[in-house]
This record gives sequence, C-alpha cells and structure tokens, in this order.
Amino acid sequence: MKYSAKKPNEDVNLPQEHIVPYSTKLIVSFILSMIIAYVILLGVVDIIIQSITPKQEKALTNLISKEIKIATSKTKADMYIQKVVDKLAKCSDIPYKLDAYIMQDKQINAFALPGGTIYITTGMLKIIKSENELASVMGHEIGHFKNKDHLRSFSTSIVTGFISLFIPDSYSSMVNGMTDFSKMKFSQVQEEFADKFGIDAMNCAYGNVNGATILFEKMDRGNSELEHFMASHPSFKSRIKKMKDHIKDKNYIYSNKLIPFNKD
Amino acid sequence: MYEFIYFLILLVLGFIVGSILEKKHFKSINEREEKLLNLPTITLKKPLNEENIVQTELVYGSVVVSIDFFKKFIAGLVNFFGGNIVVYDTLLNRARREAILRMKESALNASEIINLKVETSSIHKSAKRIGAVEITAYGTAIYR
Repeated sequence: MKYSAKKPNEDVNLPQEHIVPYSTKLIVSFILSMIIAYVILLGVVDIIIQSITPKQEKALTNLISKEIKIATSKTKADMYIQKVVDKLAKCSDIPYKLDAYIMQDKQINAFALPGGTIYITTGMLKIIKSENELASVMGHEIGHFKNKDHLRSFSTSIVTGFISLFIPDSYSSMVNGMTDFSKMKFSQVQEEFADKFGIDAMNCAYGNVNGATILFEKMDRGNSELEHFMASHPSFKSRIKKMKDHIKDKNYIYSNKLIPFNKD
Repeated sequence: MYEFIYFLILLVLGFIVGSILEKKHFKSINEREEKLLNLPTITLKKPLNEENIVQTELVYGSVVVSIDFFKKFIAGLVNFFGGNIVVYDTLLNRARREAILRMKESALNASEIINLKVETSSIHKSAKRIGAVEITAYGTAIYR
C-alpha cells in the first residue's frame, strides 16, 4: 500500500444549491402554506358558524356571559335603555336575552360584548338628543349579535392562535402581532350589515326610521372624544350613504319627528 | 410591528456576518489541510509498517462550532416540513475538518496517525434546537 497525499473530495458533504435561493424558496412556500391553512380554516369556521342553531347559539352565549361577570344592579337610566333594547330585540329574533348597561366614560362609545351584553357610555348619551338616535345605535349593536359577528371574531382568534402553535418559538411574537389586528374590529362588511339591520329593527319597532342617520352624521362631523370610537369604527360617510340607500330601497318612512330623550 | 423589523434585522445580520465568518473559516481550513497533507491519517487499527516505531501517542483535537441566527431560522422552517436540514451541512463539515486538523497539528512530527475516530456531541442552547456542535477527533500518532 502506498500513501498518496491527496485531499478528500468534500463536495458530497456540502450543499449543492446556494443558500440564498434555497432559503427564499423555503420561506415562500412556508408563508404560502400558512396562508392556505388560514383561509381553509376560516372557511370551515364560517360554515360551522352559519349552521349553528338558535338553541346552540343561546347555550354558547350563556356560557360566555357566565365568564364575563358584569354589574348586577340597574339604575333607572339603565332600565330605560333596556326598554329600548327590548323593543328592538323583539323584532330581531335573537334566541337569548340582551342586557343593556350604562358605562361611566367620557369617551363616546357603544359596544356589544359576546354574551349578550350591550354597553353605552355616558359620553355617548350626552350627544344623543332623541330616543330615535338611541334606537339607531342599539339597533346597530343588536345587528352584530344577529349576524353572530362576535362568534366570528372569537373563532378567528382561535384559528390564528392554533396556527401559531405550529410556528417555531421565535416567530410566534410575529404572529401575535397579526392576531391583534383581527381581534376587536369588525370588518367594513360586518359593520354595514349591522347598520342595515339597525334600520330594519327600528322600522319594525317604531313603524318609522326617523332620525336613523342623525347620530352617525353627528359623529361624522367629528368630536375630540370620538377618537376612541373612530379608531375601531370605519369611515362614516360611506356607511351613512349606504344606510340612506337602504332606507330608500325599503321605502321606510323618514321624517324629522323625534321622540324626546330625558336624561337621568 | 417593531418586533418583526428587529427580527428581520437580526436575520440579515446573522446571514451576512455568518457567511463572512464561514468563508474565513473554510479558507483557513483549506490552507492548513494543504500544509498537513503529508501526515497520513487513517482509520486502520494497525500501522502500515510496524518497523522503526519509536513512540506512540494518543492525540486528539476538539472544536465547538456554532451557526448564525439566519441558519437557525431556516432550520426551524425545515423542521416544520421535514427533510434534510441542508444549512447545517457546512457547519458539520467545518467542525469535522477543524477537529481533524487540530488533531494533526498536535502531532506535527508524527509519521502517521492511525485508528482515527470522530465523535460528536451537541451542546443544546434550549431543549429543542442545536445551538452548537462539539466534535472530537482522536487517534494514535506514530513516531518513527
């Protein structure tokens, strides 16, 4: 045997493809598969939500409302709001009880929590001058319940949370950033549906839709306390226009006779 | 949003610096291998020629090599799909060659090194991923 000084062939042990095209391909296919998984899962979730029966919806809502502990006693003012809500709720065919509460807050806001609770701030009540305006806001919130928007946003965050399980550690913070976007905001479409529903409910409960757009027009004109509200609700002008179109389509009676609003 | 940008910056930095350091290491490895070509290192258990042996000695070389952040990220993605983690190839290659070179360098006057064995152990940064790898190469140096 003779030893010949020769370097071994290392090429078999080293990557054949340059790292940059390799990584790009890998990253792109990873992102694509995440997107596809997200879309498919959302589609599945949507189908499930649409096929939830009222009874199931009621059970789910009761489950959630048990988790969210809220104020127990109601003031006279709360009861008044509740009366308006009940009037509208009768027209909306929702299988569970809706609870209305006033929240002490200077900011102008009204929101609905999963579980059937509606909150309206004292700030909002200050700029409301008629029962009709109150009804338009409440109707809008009831519309969200009707369309199961809360279940939807709930399940969206479940889906994104589920997907982030599969993503290795260091990038789950990245994904969390994305989940925050989709959490508390309803899409433009969902908001418009809620608007339409609010108008229909008003018409059903009051026989007319007087003052349906007044409050929204007020908010469109702008106000310093509105910032918070504006942040979570998209532009008003297009929504107001759509509401007016809807009123015209359905031939609702619209006059300026408003029921006065007594503040407690 | 800022976390994402920070992450991207780390990735790019890891890639650039890591590539530079890796190239430097490979260059050094290639040079030293050229110089040490005349010291045969074989895995046979007995020397080629059993005459004139003055001394035998255990020699070993060990090295710990780590990879950059970018490669770790890619490895994480490949872990998701499965398959060969190609990016670690250069890591292992460098580590092995460096360990063998260090072993040779500790026996410069030897005629040959027999019974070469290479062993590895990974130093885990966290339970899941390989942070660095340690390779030990050892053999018997024969002096004539």
